[in-house]
Amino acid sequence: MKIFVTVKQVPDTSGVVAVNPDGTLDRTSMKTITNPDDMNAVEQALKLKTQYNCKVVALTMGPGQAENMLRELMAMGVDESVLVSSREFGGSDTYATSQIIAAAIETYGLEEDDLILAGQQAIDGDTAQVGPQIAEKLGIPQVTYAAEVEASDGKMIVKKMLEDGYVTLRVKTPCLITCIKELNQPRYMNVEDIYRAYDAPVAVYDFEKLKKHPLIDLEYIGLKGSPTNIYKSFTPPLKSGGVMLKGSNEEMAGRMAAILAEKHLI
Amino acid sequence: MDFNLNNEQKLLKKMTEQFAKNECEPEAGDIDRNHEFPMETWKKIQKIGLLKVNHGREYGGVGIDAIAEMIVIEELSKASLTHGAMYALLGHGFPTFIEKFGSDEQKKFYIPQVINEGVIGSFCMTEPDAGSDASGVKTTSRKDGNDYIVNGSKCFITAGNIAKYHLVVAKADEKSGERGFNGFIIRSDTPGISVGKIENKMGIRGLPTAEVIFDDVRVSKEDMLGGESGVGNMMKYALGTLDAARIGTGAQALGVATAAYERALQYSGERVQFGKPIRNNQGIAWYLADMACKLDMARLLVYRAAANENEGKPITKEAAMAKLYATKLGCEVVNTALQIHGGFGYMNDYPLERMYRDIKITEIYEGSSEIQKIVIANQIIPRQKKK
Repeated sequence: MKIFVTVKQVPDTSGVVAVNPDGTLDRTSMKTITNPDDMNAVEQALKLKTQYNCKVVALTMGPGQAENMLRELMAMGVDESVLVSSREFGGSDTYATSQIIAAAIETYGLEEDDLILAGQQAIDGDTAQVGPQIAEKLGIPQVTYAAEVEASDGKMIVKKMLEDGYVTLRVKTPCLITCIKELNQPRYMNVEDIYRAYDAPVAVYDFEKLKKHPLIDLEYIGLKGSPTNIYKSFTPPLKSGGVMLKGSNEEMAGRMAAILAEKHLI
Repeated sequence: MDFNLNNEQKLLKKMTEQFAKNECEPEAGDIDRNHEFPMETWKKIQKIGLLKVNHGREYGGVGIDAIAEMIVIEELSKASLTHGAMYALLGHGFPTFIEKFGSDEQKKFYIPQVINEGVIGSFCMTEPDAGSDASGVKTTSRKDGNDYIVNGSKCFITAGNIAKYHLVVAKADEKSGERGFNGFIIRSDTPGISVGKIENKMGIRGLPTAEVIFDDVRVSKEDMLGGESGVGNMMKYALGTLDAARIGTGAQALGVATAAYERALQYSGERVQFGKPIRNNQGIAWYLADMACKLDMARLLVYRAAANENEGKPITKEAAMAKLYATKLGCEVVNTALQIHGGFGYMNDYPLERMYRDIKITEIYEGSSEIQKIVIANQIIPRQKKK
């Protein structure tokens, strides 16, 4: 058994967001973090690693600087990393990205008892599409919105969050599970793994390495091949913070009614 | 000259920064107000491996790297000096003595306990009449067969009331021909040891300071620091670890002052008086410029000394300079940061008044500023031959 975790380096939303002329994010000039949901996926993988003594492989697509993120994940306990990076892949939308990542996973080697964990969605694009699309391309089952994950007899038991409750599913491996933040609290890096994080190389899969893979349709990669193109990007103007009312429920309701009345809304 | 951190040091900095922000900063005000040692946080520090930093691999550490230790001290001190000092003194006081001067058995026995279990050891040197002048130690060690009998009273002992082990400095037994001072590692539950007054301090109130009393405490000669070759050598050992400890004290001051400066920089941009943020006044902007320079000076001195230590160069002068100036400049920066905060800075709801109280100790402990000047002067003034 081994666990792939797909991760994405995203802009730190507390910093400045920069946009390229083509509307895509200028990822090299922004402060970055690992996508928060992906951190929950990493944590889940590391928990399962302790339980089942299996290998955890982090996999990302992005510019060369994404290696720093992979090293940080290795400093948390991830065993190996794959960086999918090539000029030709730049500007890929979710459709293009998922076929490239699916090809990368197969290139690494997907076995019967393997598991792929992904974050539910990235805070930059907010699509929640890449994880499910990877599963589709690979032709494996998927469970989204996982709030609990455990392994049992070669199957995964997943508690999936619904709008108004939970449903527990059993799914055969290999499968893909997308994780939400309720799943766990990601750990810190730890000193011992920090001092090991640079011992192993980060494998780089570029265009040359992946272009002949059957899952790769050369018509549908990169910015040009993406069915979705960004029409326009902009930073929304800040909304005012609103007014917080304090006091008992009755007091607050009274105040609110008074404010609404003052504005002639009621 | 390379001013860049290496890959591991960068990760360590980031990790400690996250840890300090999430775990230490939220409790900083409470542990100060309640005089409460943050035991849970100490355990977490152990759990994520921070105590492995700057200790040898053979004892469970990740290798000797003084710069890495300074990074951790600085980042934790940004949250509060209780945390930074706790890490510096408990993580690199007692175990560092043993790593540098202990016998092989002592190293194998004690260091992993600290690193892997977070066991706390205190260093009992200071006495009412022996502060800067450590040769004034009056605690005695009398030889009795294969044992020693230790008698005396120690004051201002960091973690003296919560330590599992004490490293005790005592006068050697001159009657049996010994000279100088002996050091003993003694379990704190040994009969004859009691904890006296717990001090009510101006700052670092989360890190307890206690009186420890030794009344006819029997200790085996094998528990002498350095084993049998340790007889009479304790003062030499103490001097041999002080230089490194001084750089750490500089890093503590640097951390507190950096946090104070960052808050002042932000606050002065938010605080509007006379229709504009106060930092748009040249008077405040110049304060900030001065603070930034002082912090850089402190940082360069601290990390230069640590880099020299890593390279095995002499550090006596550099460490004393780092301590003297990082603590002096640090106190100045915190003072100005509080001034920029005005009345809010003086209130207990804001961390500035705590930082102001906390940082003062860095000019006093591990050798006062005045002692640092003596050390530096001794290093730079050529010795005159006696006529």
